[in-house]
Amino acid sequence: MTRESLVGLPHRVLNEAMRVGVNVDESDTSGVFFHVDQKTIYSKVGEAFDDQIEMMDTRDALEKYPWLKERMWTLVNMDKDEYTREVAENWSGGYFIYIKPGARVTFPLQSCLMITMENSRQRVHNIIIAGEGSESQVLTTCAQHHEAREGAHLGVSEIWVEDRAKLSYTMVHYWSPETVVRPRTGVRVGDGAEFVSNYICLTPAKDLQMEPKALCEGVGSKAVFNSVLYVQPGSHMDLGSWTVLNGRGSVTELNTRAITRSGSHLISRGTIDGNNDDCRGHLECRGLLLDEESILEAIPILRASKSGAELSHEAAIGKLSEEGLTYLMSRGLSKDEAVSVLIRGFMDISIMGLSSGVRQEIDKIIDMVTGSS
Amino acid sequence: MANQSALEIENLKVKVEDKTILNGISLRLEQGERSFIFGPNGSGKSTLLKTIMGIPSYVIESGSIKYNGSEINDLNVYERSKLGITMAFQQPPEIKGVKLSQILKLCLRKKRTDEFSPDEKDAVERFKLTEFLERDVNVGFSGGERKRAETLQMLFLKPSLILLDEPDSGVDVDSLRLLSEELDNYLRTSKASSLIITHKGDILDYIRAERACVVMDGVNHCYPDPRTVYAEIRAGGYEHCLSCSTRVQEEAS
Repeated sequence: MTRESLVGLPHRVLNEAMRVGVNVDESDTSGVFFHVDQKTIYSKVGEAFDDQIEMMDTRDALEKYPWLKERMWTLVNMDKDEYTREVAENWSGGYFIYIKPGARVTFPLQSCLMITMENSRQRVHNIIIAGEGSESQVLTTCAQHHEAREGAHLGVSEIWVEDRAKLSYTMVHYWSPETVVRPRTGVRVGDGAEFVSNYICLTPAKDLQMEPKALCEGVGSKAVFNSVLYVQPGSHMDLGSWTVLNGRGSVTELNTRAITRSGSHLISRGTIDGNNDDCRGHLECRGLLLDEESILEAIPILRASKSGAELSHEAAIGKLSEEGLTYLMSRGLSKDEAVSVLIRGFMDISIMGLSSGVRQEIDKIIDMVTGSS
Repeated sequence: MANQSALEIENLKVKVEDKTILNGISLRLEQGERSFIFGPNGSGKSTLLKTIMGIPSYVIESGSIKYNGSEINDLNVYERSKLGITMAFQQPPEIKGVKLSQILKLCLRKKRTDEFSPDEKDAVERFKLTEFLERDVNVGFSGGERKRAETLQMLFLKPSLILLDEPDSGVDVDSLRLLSEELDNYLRTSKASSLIITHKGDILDYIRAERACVVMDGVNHCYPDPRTVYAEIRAGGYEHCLSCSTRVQEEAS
């Protein structure tokens, strides 16, 4: 099932991985995982991190750790919808990442889930356990090979961020105009733990719907969802994030930057439940409509069941600033160049707190999509 | 071309949102010449500069603007910028997500990933902007910081016509001295021309100009010596300077 090095992967997969911005230089990662269509084809942890991380296919992990069976499907309801049921009935593995207690994983763990076959339905179940007091970053790219047309990706992900652990989870989606995508994600954040999700989707998808949900159960737990979305022609996306603040002193921030263009439709949701007298949450959505053929809806929901919960939101949708365009044109940029610079600026990822390596990778992808230099 | 004026404006009438602001401005700026523009609040000074730059909401009703002999009325901001016209905005917009370093590199026609040359780094340092390089352009900048950033962007563009809208307002003495000396140095060595709006006249101490132009009620009157004109304005107000005997007649005729 696994190979010695990435060089051993089929060229068709490796070239496509590079095209969608996957860093195939293993020296800058702590581990690499590849699942193609219905099969895990590569899983390797870097030597320097061998005693700090375990990474393998979820099916293998179930054999190695029988207790895992009890945990699976506790953060995502198996009967949530037809997609979760489909994954439960017929799945092809997924990544299992266990960051051991106290581990300091300085380089990102990188995973790539790719659809390469026409009309393929990929059904994966991913598990991440960030052990007590650990610090790590996971960078996962989900992509459809540009030669494969129709396809579906159904991905269940369950993530435990144990007490005082910090996990930065960055997900880049790179679909095609004919992909149907249904991720289903549940996260549990323990005492003093921090979960940061960064979601980047810049290429078209026929139909993409997801609403990852974080349960801040721990005292002083924190969940942050950052999303940068550039919704391309013909795409219909219904994207949200949801935090439930149950723990005392729990905190959440939901930040979305969204651009729609050329007949695309985006529904950007954000939900915060405040169920503790001492909890805080803020939701911010900034949307940019590049033309009048597209639709952008922002639906923020704040729901408090305790009077001490402090919840707030800001949502604003507008067009590119004429003043900014004129200003840049006075600096020698053509209108198209000025538009590109403003769009690039709008998709600023500095808020995500990414490590410089991950940030460079994401910057490269954004440059590629927006034509910036 | 040797005797070609840099800028020739003839009987320029400009409206903004259906209100006529400039009502027959005529002026000429020779190659390498500098002129101060004085005038009471709301007289149309900024409108004049923004119209020369080609800012979209400033609509020319009649008259013409020629740059190096060619009419530029129909050119957009970018096209005018390409001809060498540039402007330091009095209130530049805040652009979130675009770093000062990026906009400076755009002015230098460099890519975002290119490095500044040692000379360019020196200039950034002299303008006390090093620590602002990775901040969003103009976001949270003080008045002085904005002026320094605006001026450096202009100098990096290496323009042939510089339009300055109140470079001495909201700036401390040290910053003003710095900006003025850098501008004066550039203007002298590049032979660029310049129109400079000033209210307070502080910049007269640092930049020498060949003439002054007083804009009142949407028309203008030009004079050969800015210092004398400014002294007369201070002594007798703008009304008084209209009757001044040194007024230059050529542009009005």
